[in-house]
Amino acid sequence: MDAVVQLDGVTVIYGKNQALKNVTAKFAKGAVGLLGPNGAGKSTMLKSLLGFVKPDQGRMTVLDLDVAQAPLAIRARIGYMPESDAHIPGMNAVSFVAYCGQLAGLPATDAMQRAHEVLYYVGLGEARYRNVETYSTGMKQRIKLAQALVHDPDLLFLDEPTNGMDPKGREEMLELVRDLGHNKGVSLILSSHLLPDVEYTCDHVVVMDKGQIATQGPINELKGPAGRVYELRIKGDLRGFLDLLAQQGMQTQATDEDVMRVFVPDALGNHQAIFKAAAGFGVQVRHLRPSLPTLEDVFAKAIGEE
Amino acid sequence: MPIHDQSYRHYGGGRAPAGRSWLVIAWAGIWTFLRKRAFLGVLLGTQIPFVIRAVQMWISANYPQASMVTPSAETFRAFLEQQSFWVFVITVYVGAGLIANDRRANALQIYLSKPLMRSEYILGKLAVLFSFLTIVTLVPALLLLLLKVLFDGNFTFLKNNLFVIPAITISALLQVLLASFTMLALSSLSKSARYVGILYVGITFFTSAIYGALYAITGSTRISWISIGANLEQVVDVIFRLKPRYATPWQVSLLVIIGLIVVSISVLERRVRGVEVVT
Amino acid sequence: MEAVATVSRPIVSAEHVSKWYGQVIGLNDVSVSVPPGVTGLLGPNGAGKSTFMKLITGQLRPSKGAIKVLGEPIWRNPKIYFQIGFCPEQDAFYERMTGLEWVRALVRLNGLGEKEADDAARAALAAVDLMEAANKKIGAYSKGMRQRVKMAQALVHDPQLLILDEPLSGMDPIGRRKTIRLIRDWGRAGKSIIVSSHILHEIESMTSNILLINNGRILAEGNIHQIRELIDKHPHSVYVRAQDPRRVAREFLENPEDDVRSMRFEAGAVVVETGRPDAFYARVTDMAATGEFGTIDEVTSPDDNLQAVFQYLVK
Repeated sequence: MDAVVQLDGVTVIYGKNQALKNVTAKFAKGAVGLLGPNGAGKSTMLKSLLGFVKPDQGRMTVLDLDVAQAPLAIRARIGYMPESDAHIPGMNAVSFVAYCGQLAGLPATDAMQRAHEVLYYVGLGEARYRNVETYSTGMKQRIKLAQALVHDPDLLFLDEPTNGMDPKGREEMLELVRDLGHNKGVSLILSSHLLPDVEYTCDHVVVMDKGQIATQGPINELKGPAGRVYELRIKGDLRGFLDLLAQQGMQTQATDEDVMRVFVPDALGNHQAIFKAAAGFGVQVRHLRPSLPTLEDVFAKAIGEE
Repeated sequence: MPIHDQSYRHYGGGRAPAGRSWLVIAWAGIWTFLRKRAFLGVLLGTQIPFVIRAVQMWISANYPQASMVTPSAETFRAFLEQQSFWVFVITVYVGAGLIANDRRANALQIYLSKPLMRSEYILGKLAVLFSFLTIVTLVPALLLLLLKVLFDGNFTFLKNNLFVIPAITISALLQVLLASFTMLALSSLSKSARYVGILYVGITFFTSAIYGALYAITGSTRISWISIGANLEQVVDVIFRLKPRYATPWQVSLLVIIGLIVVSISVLERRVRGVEVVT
Repeated sequence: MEAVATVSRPIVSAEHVSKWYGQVIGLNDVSVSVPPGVTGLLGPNGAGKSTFMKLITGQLRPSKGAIKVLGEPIWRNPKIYFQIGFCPEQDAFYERMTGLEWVRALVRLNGLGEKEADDAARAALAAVDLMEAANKKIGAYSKGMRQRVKMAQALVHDPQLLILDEPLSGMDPIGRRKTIRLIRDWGRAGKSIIVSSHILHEIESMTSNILLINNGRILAEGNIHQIRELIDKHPHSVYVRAQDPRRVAREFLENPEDDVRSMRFEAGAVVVETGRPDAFYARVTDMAATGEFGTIDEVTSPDDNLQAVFQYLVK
């Protein structure tokens, strides 16, 4: 299979609102980001794939199984990490995760073994005998990931996995997600508003807007090639240097931000012109590289914003 | 910078076929209560009437002249009616939080993302309440019958009252099913176990009180169907081949019971979902 | 590069401030002056950030020490409240009111007359792009919209100082970008803003000036790059992508003033750790300008950013 998830002409109607309008999309194997403004239909799509919501029209396949016909078989092979806080009341971490393993069909002892392993993997090893209700935000996020992994799923749905975590926690969570997607052979669909997180962990994206697919594909392809614009940061007399660049015919932008953008016209050659100007003027170039469109630019263009 | 030494492995073991998850849910639910000492105390309390009745059986077998303690089929009916108090207590204790606590913790998102059907979730929860309530009603009643036979040393009582076995079974099942389904349905309506408990207690007493008031006003027992408990008593009377105690036709009482169970099932079907139903 | 502020009076000054809750200590002898402009407030969970914010918004009183906001003590000083706008992290609204009604009601609490309040509310909602939904009930808003209405109430009375706690939470990427731009604009217009967030790359887009709190104490304050330079234990890491990385590398090694501590090769590039960033960067600039050692295509510092600063300083 080349696509882990496929939607064909899927329509979902909530009351008067068409949450998904005749959506056809493919999620490739590996790590795919699911992006879109609020209300675009992302959560409706996830909920339809999980079987929480039945589409009014269309067909969906997950891991080569039809969602309408084999929902249980699908759920045995996927893991879901919900966005909001969720746990089973009155259990400690190990019991909770082992319970989830058993619900997914693992025998009791295997479920317990997997629970310990997975809890160590997500970084909750030391806290695994504590009641989940005493956990901090970061720990709650990790245990949600643990319960999604305990039965060794082939596909993970992650909804805002770094929600509420502090910088260290975010970094560790993103490392885990990246590890799972790139090194451990688990396909994943990551829904998030934090585009740099998606860029770090995913290779493909699907962008939704107003119930339809706005664009989809590999991130690199969507970004497109670099142009004549360069990111630049210098140390030295900024005002003077900007004047010099202007004199030489190089346009600058965002000069009060940490990293500015410089456009080098054809007549001046390439980026070496910037180095020459800097060396001549006596400032250090601390950061220079071709300015690539970011995932944010891809996103903005896809939904028609400037 | 991978920070963790223990890396993630794939699972190569076996997986059970679908359809067993309700057992996992049931067992986990039962174990949650059996762990609590306070609950075990209450459970012991539910068996006190059983012990008393067992003594009664022993006395009647060894002292046949003590005619007031001689058991008949009616004795078993009375026992089940006595136990309705304990049924009430256990139903509220065990049942109020069964689904409400899950809703508060947002656990349905987790349950329903596993390979189990909504009906398995409901069945598993029902089984928790069902098992405990059976221990309070059906099991001791049948045990009493067994004890009677054992103490007598013969099957005479049984041969004379053969219908008692199905009567006990059906009555106890009705009692248990009515309590389980209605409590579970109420539990699925709220996120607070406390609120559900109060609601259940409130409705039970309220319907009784309304009936009591109407009876005092009209002097007639025809509207006994308003009181949920009265319906059960009426039907159990009929099952035990006794004269029904109220003027309401027993078919109406049975219909009310069945109706309550059906309504409860439809409430459960609507409330147990992965998404809040958008109206 | 940050423009130098001409007004040097700090917007917040804390002197030997401590706050404890019974045995638990929230802030431990903190002394800091926050300059005007946009400042990022960061720290791990439980480090004392929210305590600090509650102290500067007058919700808590220090157990010891003095806190001054905009030059005056803040505790029980309603005069100052009017000059501060606070956007808290929690979500708490009257769901039945419309966005416009709610913001208007809140600004009237500040003493504005009916007409003034209406104008101010509308202006605030327009600033956060909510005019379309202004007449819908808050209960019907999406997460991002709820966040924006919170922002609107913080700036409706045109305060001199804005204190924002995770202002972008729940917003979609476009909303985030717009809000970041808004914050930068306000900073340029002369307002002061203290933004607390866990999302470091977003703080970086708003400002280079940070205040890092850990374990109830100030860990670092000031410009990110200046702070970075002071972290001796981690020499500056520079990534140089070049036509001929080894030739370039040889040249670096030739010159002891560059103080090359270590070197590592990646595809088409060399990564150098240097103890003398100024000398090193100047040399790279010259080498790239002359092209004597082949073309140099990219110069970046993988760890001269907020993420690295945070990582190195917060154990």
